[in-house]
Amino acid sequence: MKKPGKRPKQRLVVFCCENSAAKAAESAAGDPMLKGVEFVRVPCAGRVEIRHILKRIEAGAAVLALACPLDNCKYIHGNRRTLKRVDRVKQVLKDAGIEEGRVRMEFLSSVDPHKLVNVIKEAKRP
Amino acid sequence: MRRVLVIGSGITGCAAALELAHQGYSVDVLESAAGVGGKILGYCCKATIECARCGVCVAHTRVAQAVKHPNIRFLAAMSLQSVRRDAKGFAARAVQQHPAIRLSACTACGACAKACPARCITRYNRGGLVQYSINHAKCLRRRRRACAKCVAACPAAAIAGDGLSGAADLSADAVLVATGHQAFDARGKPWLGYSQVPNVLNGEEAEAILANRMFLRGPNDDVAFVQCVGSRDPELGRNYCSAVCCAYATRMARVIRHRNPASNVTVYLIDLQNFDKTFSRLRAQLAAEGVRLVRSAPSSIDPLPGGRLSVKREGVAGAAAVAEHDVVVLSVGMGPAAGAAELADQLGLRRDEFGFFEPGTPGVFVAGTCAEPRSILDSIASGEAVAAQILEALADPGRPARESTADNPNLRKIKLSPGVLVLGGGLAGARVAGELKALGYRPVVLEQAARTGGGASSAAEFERLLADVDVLTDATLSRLTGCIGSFHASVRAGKTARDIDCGAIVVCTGNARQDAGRDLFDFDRILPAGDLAAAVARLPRKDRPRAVGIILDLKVEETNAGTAQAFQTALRVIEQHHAEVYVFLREVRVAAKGLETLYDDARNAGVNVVKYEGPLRLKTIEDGVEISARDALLGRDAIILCQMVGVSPCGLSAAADAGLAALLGVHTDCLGQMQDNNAHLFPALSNRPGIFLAGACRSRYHPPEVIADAKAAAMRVHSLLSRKHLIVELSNATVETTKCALCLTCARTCPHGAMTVDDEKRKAVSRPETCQRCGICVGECPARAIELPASVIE
Ligand SMILES: Cc1cc2nc3c(=O)[nH]c(=O)nc-3n(C[C@H](O)[C@H](O)[C@H](O)COP(=O)(O)OP(=O)(O)OC[C@H]3O[C@@H](n4cnc5c(N)ncnc54)[C@H](O)[C@@H]3O)c2cc1C
Ligand code: SF4
Ligand code: SF4
Repeated sequence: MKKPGKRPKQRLVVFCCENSAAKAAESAAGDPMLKGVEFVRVPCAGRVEIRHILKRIEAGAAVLALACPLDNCKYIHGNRRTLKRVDRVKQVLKDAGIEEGRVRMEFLSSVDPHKLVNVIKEAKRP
Repeated sequence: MRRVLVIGSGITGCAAALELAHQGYSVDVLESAAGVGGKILGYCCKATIECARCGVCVAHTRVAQAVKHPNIRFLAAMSLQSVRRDAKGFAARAVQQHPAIRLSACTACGACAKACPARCITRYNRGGLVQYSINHAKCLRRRRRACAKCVAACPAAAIAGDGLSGAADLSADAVLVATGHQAFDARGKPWLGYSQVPNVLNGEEAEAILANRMFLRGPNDDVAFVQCVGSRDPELGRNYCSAVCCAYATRMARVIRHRNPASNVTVYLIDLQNFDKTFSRLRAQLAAEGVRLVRSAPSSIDPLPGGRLSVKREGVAGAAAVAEHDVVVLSVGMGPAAGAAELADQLGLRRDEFGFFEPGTPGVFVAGTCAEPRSILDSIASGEAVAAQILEALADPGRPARESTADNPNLRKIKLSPGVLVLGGGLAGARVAGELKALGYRPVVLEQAARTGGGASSAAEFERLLADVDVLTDATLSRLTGCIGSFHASVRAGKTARDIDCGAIVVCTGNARQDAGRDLFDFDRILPAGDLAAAVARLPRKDRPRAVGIILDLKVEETNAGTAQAFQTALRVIEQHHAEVYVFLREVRVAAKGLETLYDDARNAGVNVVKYEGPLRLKTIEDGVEISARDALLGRDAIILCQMVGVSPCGLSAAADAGLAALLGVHTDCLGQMQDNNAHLFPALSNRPGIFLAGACRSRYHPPEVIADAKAAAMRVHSLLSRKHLIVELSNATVETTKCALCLTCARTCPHGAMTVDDEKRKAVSRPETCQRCGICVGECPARAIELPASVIE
């Protein structure tokens, strides 16, 4: 039986750049922390648009955008673009009175599967 | 088909193998360990939110590409038993050391790991590199027990059945030695407590821990790094700088602070090497983030009751100072790999006084850290450079496999113009042109001065490199249109104008530091350091200076080149004119072969080295120039009167020609040097496909580094143009005519310069050969007019 007052677990959508986080996710596959997380693979974090994020949030999910560390983007500055967009989404959420923590952005490289698990753990924390 | 045998599957071997394989060569890579990739497998990413350019992820990508390449065969757990020269080249015999998995056949299904009763099969999966390998120490067959469960379980027949006794006969046209290095065994300095005192780690262990965990031990630990362990140490017979330990230690220090800003991190060092393109900024970051740099070499590390460590060092004015830390990392340097002596005998290679290989003998090539300590990114450059050297030596530039467009309407074949335009006729430009010539190209060299030679001129060398090369002097680029494969350059040479069509461009224009010294040099008493020795020699004997100063690091951090030039000049001035010489520098930059011994020679010859901190002032007075600065070691001001002062121009400004960069559409970094500070581009790539960079314009100054850079750039040009055609998929960004407002946001935000304007249709269009399909424009276009069919992420 569900305990009264306990919020239902929020769905987590993770946008993964295929040059970094997606590779890290492949290495970390099987880790219990990744269970139930919806991964969306993108060719570059710079591909993630504001509306993609908002759509997930409207559907009730929390969004984590994972990009390569700054200066490590295969496409030079795709990750910086996304960082700006995530900041804009945060502003939109704030203006709408929604908790801005619903969207986060983190930077990690392809060789950091442990960091991926760690940021997902943090993102899952209510 | 040409065959090359590469010994060692580290990043160097893989980088070289990839280039050769791309040219249609067949490459065998011999590796004595059970898995491929070398040392990088055990290293961590050192990014905070910003990449630290340690190169570990880049190296993983390269090794993974090599593993997948059809022309590369890896022979793991095998070692060279014999090699002899024959009529065709080399005949080598390699023997299997123990059971191993053939990577080329392995599908990474994992069946063997499940079947192994001794659990000796491990899976490595990081950074896109997946490999299974057999840990021989645990394998039952090592104890001569009959077990071949893995062999039976493997559906791909990737595990050799004959186990211990396998051998392979290999033939090759050339041999590349890329056997890498071995980290210094810190037990060689017992007073530092390694392997005796708990929580004293070496650099490799620290790397391996941070590759799997967020902290070395606990988040609140006070961590110290001790530099130069097993490097710059004549007592150990290792008086050379290992070039990477300053880099990995300060980068890890930043990571630790970043993950817990409340933790203390100290680095005990002698000198901080300039290991990154934007090192001047990095130093500021270290200070801002509170990484403590202490200039001292600890003399002992002892355990304290309660588990902490006491680190003793010599403090100011010789008094002992003690500090406590929780974890100490010994930044061990690099030495020659085990077995280097034997290999040298087998292949007839010479080794330097420290055991690193000297450049090869005919047919035998050497690259990477087995030749000298290098970083990963420099090892990649060295691997690409040696590939070019091998193609030239075998007089066979090779040919990439032809791709067919026949059965795919989505592919377009674009002809590549074989022309290459080399901008700049200095050391880098002449080298690039020489290499390209040797690979069968007819480059055109553009030099803005009246003659080639640039900053470094050895006339004979230049003549040789530039013989038969079309050189335009007094020439500047006035306009550039087109893109990869077909650039159109408008050039003004003297009074004539000329158009040049080319498939690729190599920028070797050095930096723009002449301007930086304008208000400083009087060319009489204060002059560029490079001119100093000649200027002194020109003076009549009675007017020769009694004291000469050489100043480094004045405005930006000096590189290896500045130190080399300063000490060579100092030695010349002392030997020829018996003057006193003072070299002012912030750090002794000796992170390249031979520089530490040059520094030793200079000091032994009586050169006074003053390490300064804070500002340095030059005041011209009647009988000379007064140099005043704070002596960092003595902790007090030093004022020295010299009659002549040479200032290293490299320490004045790092910036490249900004106008040219803008004209080319090539990005500059935060110091104004060409090339983004992005490890994926190093060494030779720019943000614009088809435009390559080499030498000082991208911050490489030391001649051996410039030469490696130039060769690597030539290799990249060849790798592009030898394809003759570019096959591109028409999956590039498309712009909807009705929606496009021609605001050109896309053209501004596209990092690769792929967007242009279609004048007829009045809309923006992306060029399929330049568009990298990243989708940045799609997200930036305010009219949402752009679509990228390749990936829909609704
Ligand atoms: C503690 C430490 C940390 C470092 N961290 C960094 C860093 O963060 N960033 C960075 O840029 N650089 C770093 N470096 C430097 C980095 O390790 C080298 O630049 C890089 O590994 C060099 O690659 P390589 O291919 O030349 O050699 P290796 O990686 O040593 O590879 C050589 C390969 O050859 C094999 N081999 C050796 N002898 C034989 C033989 N006789 N037959 C067959 N195979 C053989 C070896 O098994 C190995 O697989 C670090 C170095 C150390 C010591
Ligand atoms: S190059 Fe940058 S992103 Fe890649 S592993 Fe090193 S620090 Fe991390
Ligand atoms: S000075 Fe050279 S040897 Fe010493 S720690 Fe720095 S890079 Fe290593």
